[in-house]
Amino acid sequence: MNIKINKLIGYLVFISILFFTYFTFSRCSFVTSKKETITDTNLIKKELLDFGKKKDSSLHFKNTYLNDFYIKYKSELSDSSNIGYLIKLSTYYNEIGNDKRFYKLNKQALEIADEFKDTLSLARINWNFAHFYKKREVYDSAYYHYYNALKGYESKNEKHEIALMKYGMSVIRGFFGDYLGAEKLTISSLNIFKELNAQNNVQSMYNHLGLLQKDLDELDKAERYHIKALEIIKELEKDNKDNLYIRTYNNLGRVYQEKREFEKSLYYFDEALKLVDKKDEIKYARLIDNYAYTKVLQGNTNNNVLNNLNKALEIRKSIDNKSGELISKLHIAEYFLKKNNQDRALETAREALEISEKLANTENYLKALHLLSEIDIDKRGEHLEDYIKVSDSVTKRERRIQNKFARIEFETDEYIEKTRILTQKTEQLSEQKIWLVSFLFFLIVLIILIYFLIVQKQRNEKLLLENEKQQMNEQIYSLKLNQHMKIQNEKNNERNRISEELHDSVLSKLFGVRLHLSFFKMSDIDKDTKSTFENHLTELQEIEKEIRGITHQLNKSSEDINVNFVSLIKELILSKESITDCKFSLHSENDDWENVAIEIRVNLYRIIQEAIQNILKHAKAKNVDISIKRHANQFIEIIIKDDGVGFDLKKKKNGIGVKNIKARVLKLKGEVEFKSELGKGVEIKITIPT
Amino acid sequence: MKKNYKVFIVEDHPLICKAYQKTLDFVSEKTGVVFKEIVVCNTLENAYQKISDCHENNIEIDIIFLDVQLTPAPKHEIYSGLDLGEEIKKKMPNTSIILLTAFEYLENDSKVHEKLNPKALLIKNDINLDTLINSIISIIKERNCEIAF
Repeated sequence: MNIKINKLIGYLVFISILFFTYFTFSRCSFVTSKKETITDTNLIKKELLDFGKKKDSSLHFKNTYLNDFYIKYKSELSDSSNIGYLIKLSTYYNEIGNDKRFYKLNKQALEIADEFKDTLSLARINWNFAHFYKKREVYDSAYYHYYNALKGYESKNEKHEIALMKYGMSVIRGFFGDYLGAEKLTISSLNIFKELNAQNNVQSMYNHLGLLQKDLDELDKAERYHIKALEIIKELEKDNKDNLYIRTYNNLGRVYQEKREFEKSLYYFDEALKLVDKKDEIKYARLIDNYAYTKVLQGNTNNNVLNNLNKALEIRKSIDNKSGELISKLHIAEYFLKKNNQDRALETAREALEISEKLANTENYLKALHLLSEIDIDKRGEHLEDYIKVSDSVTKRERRIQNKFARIEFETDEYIEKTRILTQKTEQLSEQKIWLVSFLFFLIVLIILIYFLIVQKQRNEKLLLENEKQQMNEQIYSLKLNQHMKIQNEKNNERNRISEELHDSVLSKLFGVRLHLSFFKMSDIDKDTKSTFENHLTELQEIEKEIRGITHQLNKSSEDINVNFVSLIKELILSKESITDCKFSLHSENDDWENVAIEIRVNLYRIIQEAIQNILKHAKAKNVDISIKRHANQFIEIIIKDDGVGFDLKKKKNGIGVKNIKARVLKLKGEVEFKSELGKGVEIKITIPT
Repeated sequence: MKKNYKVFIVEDHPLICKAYQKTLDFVSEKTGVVFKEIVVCNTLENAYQKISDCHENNIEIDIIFLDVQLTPAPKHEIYSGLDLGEEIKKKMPNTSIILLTAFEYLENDSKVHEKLNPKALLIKNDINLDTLINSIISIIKERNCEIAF
């Protein structure tokens, strides 16, 4: 039983260990198992890098190349470990203007990154979306994605990207007239780029700041920022800086134009014109237009100026640059106004108004209205009214959009916070669940253990009690035996005493009296009396002989009583015989058992008792044969035989009786042998050394 | 016929001692034998002393009535009438011993016969007066014959 419980406990502990190992490693294995599906990532990388080098190829070629690549690695790209390449691919599609493919791939990347909580990839994907929407002039969506990307990069502290996102947001805010908000973002970006020593970006920031200041009519500030940008461009270590120069010169020219420092303005436009490639028609047209317009503002109304203005307009028309055309028309209208050619001025201004209405370009629409109110004096009031209306609605719209940006930021922040709390909660919950399950499991194991411990303890106590009981029994028996012996001895002594008394004293006295009486018969008495007397004498002698017989009997029985141990066994057998149909026979020699240790006698008595008990309980025997022999004071041999049903010795499950007998024999350093077959009874042979 | 017999009675029961004396008187009356001196000893110790005295003084004891069950005299390594009998046999081989005992098994004990060679071995409760008298007479007759030779 003990072994069983130990096994059971061991089993439980093993299970609990397995259980916990599972819990501990299940999370880790989830991560490692994903790595197996990697194909040749190096190959993917190489092919994508190859594309990066093909900058000068045609759009068509690039598109074909990317499509081939996508079809080739479609399955690999859908694997989470290759999300970087997937994003890269979608970025390339965005660059070459394949919006459909871009959108599809970027969306796919978004799903993967979302599933694996890949913050950096998510940020990059958002950036792509922002870029995409900005290009399509969906500014609120673009802003939303910039902001999301910014949050992602902020959580990973990717400084360069943070600055870029802020710049992107700043451009959109500036576009909608939130110049102060835009300025704040650009300064923040500027500081980061300075910290990173990214000079190219630094000059871009200065450029943007300059533009913003110009819009705020802070012309001195704008001038300072553009000069700063120009200084940085000069120090830049870059091969082709022409475009940067052209941009900055143009911007400076515009600032001075506003400041009405026309000479400086003309100088910078002229510098830009020196650098510009005439094939780059948008820039070229813009520069000659700006240059001519400065002259107009200066009051120069000669034909050359008009020619330049018309040249720019022609170029812009030829490349279908509508907003450029609009600006050209406004400038030309102003030229005619300066020249007092009201009709042409009015005509051109109206054309400009028409175009700006088509383009929904409110800024220039307002400019056209303003111009018209100056030209068309008759309808001045009407135009001014229009102007105020549109200007109000523009301001409202700008405010609304600005509010929208604030709302986007707020909502995004809220969403991020929500998701953060939610994930935290789910994590907490799952952790709690694991703890709860483990705790319950431990509790159950603990309860089982405690239960078995209690059962075990009770069993031990029971065994202890039984042991004590047995010891008590033995003590009682030994006391009984001693008592028995004492009583027997006392009886013997008494018998001996009586016997001796009778023999020595009473018999001798009777003999003496009889002799004395014999002398009487010698005297003369009548014959009858004499014969009677002699008869009495003979009787008296008979009495003496009788008494002697009694003394002999007393002596003899006292010798018999010496067997005491055997007599106890006899008593035991008699008591058992009286309650069953079983017949017992005891073979024993009347040896002296006094010199056999009391321990041996007690145990032998118990063994025989146990054996008899077993036979009566299980054997269904009719005859039981018990023989007790002592061999030359060296060992005692006891054989107990019955003719009952017997039992199978091979069966391990021996009864308590058999175990007790074995234990007792072992205690006496003896040997026990069971011989049995089913249906043939049992023979127990015990030898004990003395 | 020798007339002056010296007789010892070794017996712890006074009643039996008297009975023996009476028997001797009866025998004396009937046969004319004179029992010059009858010494009664109630203990083994006493008996041993007196027998030793006789031996030292070269006084011969003719007949001795000897009981078996008597208080032992460990001083002289005499534990029963049998031991005393052996002593007498050593010192006075001519003394006739009448062994009188209640132990009937001694009747068939060869060792007793060998060592003591009693002239008579009488089991107290088996005999009567006649047996005793006859035994004494037969002993006296035997002794007379011996003397006669």
